[in-house]
Amino acid sequence: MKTDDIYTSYTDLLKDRQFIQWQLMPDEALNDYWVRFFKQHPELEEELQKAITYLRTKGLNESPLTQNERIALFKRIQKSVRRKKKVAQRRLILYASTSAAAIALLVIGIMLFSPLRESVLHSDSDRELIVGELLNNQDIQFITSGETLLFQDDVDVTLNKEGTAEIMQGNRESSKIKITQDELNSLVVPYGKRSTVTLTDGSKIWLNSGSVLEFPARFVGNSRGIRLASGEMYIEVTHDEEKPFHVQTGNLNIRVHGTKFNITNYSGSPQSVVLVEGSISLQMKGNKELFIKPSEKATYSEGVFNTEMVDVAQFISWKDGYFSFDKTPMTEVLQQIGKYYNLSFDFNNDINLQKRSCTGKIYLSDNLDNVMTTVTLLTSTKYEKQENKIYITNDHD
Amino acid sequence: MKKEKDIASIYNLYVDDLFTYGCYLGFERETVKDAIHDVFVKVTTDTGKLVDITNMKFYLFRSLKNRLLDIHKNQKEHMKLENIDSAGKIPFQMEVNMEELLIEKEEQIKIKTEVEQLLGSLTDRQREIIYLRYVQGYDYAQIAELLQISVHGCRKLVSKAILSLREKYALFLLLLSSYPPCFNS
Repeated sequence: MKTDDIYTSYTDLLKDRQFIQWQLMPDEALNDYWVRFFKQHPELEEELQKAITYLRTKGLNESPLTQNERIALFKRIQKSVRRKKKVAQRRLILYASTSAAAIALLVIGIMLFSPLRESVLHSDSDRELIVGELLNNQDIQFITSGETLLFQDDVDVTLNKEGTAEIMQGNRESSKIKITQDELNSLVVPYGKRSTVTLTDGSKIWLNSGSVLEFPARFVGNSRGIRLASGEMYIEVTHDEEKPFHVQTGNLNIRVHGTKFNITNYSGSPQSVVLVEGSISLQMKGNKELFIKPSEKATYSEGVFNTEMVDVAQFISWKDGYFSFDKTPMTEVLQQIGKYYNLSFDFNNDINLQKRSCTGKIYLSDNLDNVMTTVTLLTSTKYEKQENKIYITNDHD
Repeated sequence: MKKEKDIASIYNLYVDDLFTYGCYLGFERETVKDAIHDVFVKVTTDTGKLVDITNMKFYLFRSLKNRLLDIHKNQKEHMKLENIDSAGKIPFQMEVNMEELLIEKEEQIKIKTEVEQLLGSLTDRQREIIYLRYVQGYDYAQIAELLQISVHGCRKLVSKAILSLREKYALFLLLLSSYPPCFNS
């Protein structure tokens, strides 16, 4: 039997046969012994958890399935499903009186890529390659009174009237910090991360990847104002007749009267605003004010605003953890995924794939493989991950 | 928010566990893949299935086991020869992997051997129960369903396993009960 000072790490626990026996086949005596042991050694709690986790995953449950087998098997399943679906459709034509519900069966969360024009599909296949590169992950920065706090995981910031900011990281840690009254604070959310900020008036902001937001610790005077230096945000503004709300982004000033809307201002693409609810007006420096209505999207490019009616869900679904696409070009789809997961896609070697378009939903899981599998499966493309690069090619069956 | 309702996410979540389980049951890799294929095609094409199933993981485990049992019944040639014992029962062998522990190679091998000996002193069904309970976190009712035995029978198998280990390591337990460990602290 071992004396207890031998255990310093979880590997020491795993070296003990009695420990393993207790884990796998506990009886009363073993249970008494080890429960007592860990009660007297609370410092080993973390090591105990590590030992259990190791046994349950790697130790006794490591999958012998390779990444390639995993993808190949899924494609096979997908193919069979499609074949079955075709049969089901044919049957539906035969029994024309049966209800249409029968074909609705397999399109849950499925994306359909279809070529924009039939003609682009045939032609040289060696030009069908899109390369994505995984970029280094950066921390989220909270900058206040010249000090910068770094966070590895997505944060939820809540400002209080007392001049403190409560910062929750990844739903577990919460820390309170004092922030300066008179200076602007900023939150820098790099690609691959997201965050939310709740202002003292209760207005809530969802910040998408690659965004910088500047906000005061507290609103003073008779107006409220924040600035989106770059990136994308969705905001729900608390109504306050007496204190109008302004959002500044680039040269654009948005005046708000209690409302929900989404703003995009990424370098390299035109600024746009989508109004979900309420009423806002946009004003470019020196130009006249433009009012937009709910479900309207205003895009500013080459000195003019263009407005169009849009499906709002497509523009704000990112805040709820999924992307929704409707005949969206593949380049755009991959750019959005790239922003979310911090990858950069290179379309230079490709002339065909990027012309496809996409309709459907992609759930943004923590695992990039899940997302890429969804993207490629129904696009009849395939992807391969090598180190930090992702190669997307046409799938020739 | 992370709904398990689309097939790609479900697949990615559970395919490794399913594949491991199938391999532990002694089936060839390709046979296990075929069975997983059949299970997923069925769950995707059966109307409403994806929406209705509350415990997706358990549903998949049960479907896979049933599919494998069917295959086993029909085509015994798919089994690795050495895995078929005289009664034609399905084996259950776990792979023990200690290679990722940051310790000396010799110690890794020592742990691996000890765990294998421990598991080796049990029957196939007892090993399967340990795997389903400890690694997969199923309760006795679910395990009994997977093994197609009663809950009572399932509990009995476990207590038998504990008993056989107690006999084997009787000395240790004797020491434990008569000399409660004293701690330095």
